[in-house]
Amino acid sequence: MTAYKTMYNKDVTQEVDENVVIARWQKGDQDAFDELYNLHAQSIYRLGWAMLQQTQAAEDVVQETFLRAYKARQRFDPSKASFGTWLYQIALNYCRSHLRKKRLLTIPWLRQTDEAPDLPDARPGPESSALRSEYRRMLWEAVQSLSDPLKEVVTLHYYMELPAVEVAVLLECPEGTVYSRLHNARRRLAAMLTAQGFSAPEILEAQNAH
Amino acid sequence: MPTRHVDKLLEAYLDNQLSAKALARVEKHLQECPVCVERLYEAKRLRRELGPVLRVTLGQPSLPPRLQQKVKNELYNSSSNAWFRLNWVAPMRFLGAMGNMALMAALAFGAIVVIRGYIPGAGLFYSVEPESGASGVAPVLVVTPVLTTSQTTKNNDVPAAEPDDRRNTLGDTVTLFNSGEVTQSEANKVIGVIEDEEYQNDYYPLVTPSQPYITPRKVQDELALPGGTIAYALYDTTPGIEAYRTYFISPNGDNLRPYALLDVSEPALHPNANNDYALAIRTWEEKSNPRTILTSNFSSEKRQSVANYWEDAQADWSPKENRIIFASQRESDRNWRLYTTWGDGSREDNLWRDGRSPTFAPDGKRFAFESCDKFGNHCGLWSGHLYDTSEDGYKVILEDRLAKSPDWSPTGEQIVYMANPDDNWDLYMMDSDGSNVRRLTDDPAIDGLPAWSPDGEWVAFVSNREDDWGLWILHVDSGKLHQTITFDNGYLTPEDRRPYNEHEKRFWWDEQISWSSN
Repeated sequence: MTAYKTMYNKDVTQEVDENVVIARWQKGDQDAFDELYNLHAQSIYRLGWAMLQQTQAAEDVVQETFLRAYKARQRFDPSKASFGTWLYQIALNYCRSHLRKKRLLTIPWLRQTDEAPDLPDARPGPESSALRSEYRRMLWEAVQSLSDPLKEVVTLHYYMELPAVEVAVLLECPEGTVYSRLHNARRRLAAMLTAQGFSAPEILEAQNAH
Repeated sequence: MPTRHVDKLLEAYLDNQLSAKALARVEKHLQECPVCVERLYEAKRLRRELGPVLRVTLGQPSLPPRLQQKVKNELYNSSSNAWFRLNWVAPMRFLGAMGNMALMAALAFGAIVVIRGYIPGAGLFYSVEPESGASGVAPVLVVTPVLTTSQTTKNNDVPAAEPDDRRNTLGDTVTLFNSGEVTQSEANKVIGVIEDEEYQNDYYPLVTPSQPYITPRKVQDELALPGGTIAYALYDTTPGIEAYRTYFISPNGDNLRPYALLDVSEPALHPNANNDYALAIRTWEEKSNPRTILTSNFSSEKRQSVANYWEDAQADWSPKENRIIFASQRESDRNWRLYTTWGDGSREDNLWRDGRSPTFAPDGKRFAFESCDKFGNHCGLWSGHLYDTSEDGYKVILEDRLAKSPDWSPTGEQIVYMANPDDNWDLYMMDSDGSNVRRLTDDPAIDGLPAWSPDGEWVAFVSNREDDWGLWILHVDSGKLHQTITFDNGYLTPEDRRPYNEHEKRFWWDEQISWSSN
């Protein structure tokens, strides 16, 4: 078989191997579970962390995702989505319901959790300056104030670095919807940054750079 | 002929995901539309910056290694009875919802629903007899020409406030005078003093000494041990008891006797405990006593509840008056807040301040407590004044999140507390303005819950040094150390079970001990 890249930049031969592992896992093989866990748990943990921003909650996301996946293991359909995407879907559903529950108790994003990351950047880049870190903080806060669907798309596309095609599969929506959400998110962010006085010089600088 | 804006297509354009036709359209439009060119730069910039900003701000935490085994256990050891979780949760929720609906329906039709818990004014449900003629110790009036109040007995009698008036929560109007301007009739009404230079304390940054300035050393008989009574509470695990018991003991270890009531803890002895109201104590069970703070004499024959809620706790006596200050989680957000009341339970007042573990200064007006400011910053030990409960009246005296259980010395000059700067609970002492922090102990064992002796020379504390929890006393000038007793009839904290962890887990540092002169 010629090794060619799929649109997820994954080797097809690897995919085939994974299918074998999944089949073993579906029969209850614990070694197969270990292999799948090593492949996918890290990115699910990052997703949970990005969505919920608490280490304990992110651990719960990993645990619940694998528990639910195992319960529903016969329903996994490789023709619809890759195994990783399927796990992402389960994790994302869990995050959403977790956030919904939390929302009953408190107004989200206003509450700083204990483990909320420190906002100022610890690793100053080449353009490091007070303005720069202030800009980062503004951008971060602007992202946090986006509505849930937009924030999900931004998190998946920019933080998790998933291509829009895969985000579309994951969210079970057309690719065009993903792009239009990215567009809406960009307009919101730009509006918020402009309101904070962060537009003109940065854009000029960008124009000069190109 | 201008073409349609292509703003919405820019992300797909940058991802190279457009069809040939759409691509041609976008490129043609970008030639002629400066607005869309600007949008393109905007999109490029966010594309370039958003990922790094999110990754830097959120971090990219790595998976805890132990999680794998945990998930695996959960998965393969509990899947045999998974039907239980799958099939029972939903119906139980449904039943819970039905119960709520039934309750609401009952309320709507005017049925009387009895809810277990506190019912305001329902004193007749409780079996404590009213005290005959014992109204407590009268407040001691301190006559000094600095501050006068127009004293009122009830809050609704308070005259309308003048523009510059400062009003405290006790219903008194506070007026500041310069010395010498006060007439005799005004001086007769003075009940408290605020001395400015003492009150305007500065904030000193946290300096945690690593060495004790004294050398605590254990001595047996070479010193005269102080007198008085120390009170402490232990959880008795004897089958059939399984409750907190409070004990009294002399500092030399003699005369150990239990308090008569069961299931009471967090004792606070009045510094000059007499046979009227020696003790304020938290009760946990409702069988024979209201579950709140009681005041009582040593023998528990004369007792009455002075507060109203289950969550009221951590009482401390004013050394001057028959007043206690306490903390409570009674509000539904379960934040600790400060309250004060007279020792007979009359005139409870909310101090409108978050905080816990309050301790009175010897003047009976100032107090120190654990708290943060209203934004959650500057956590540590704070001081306040009963007559100035505005936000400005509270001052941080020591900024240390792990400083707990302050006790203000009877001389007024020092505050002793416990802190944990190097992962080891030890005793510290500072001047009452937060300066001059000194370390008292540095034993690798836990030292905590300090309480001053009535003469201000000794500090009693609990410690697990020498392998067993026990009660110790330390002479703060010489470092002489004496063990009063080993706790062999109970534990400082109960097992993790109700009702002792109603709102959060209970730890040993939630207890308190106390020392009186009689």
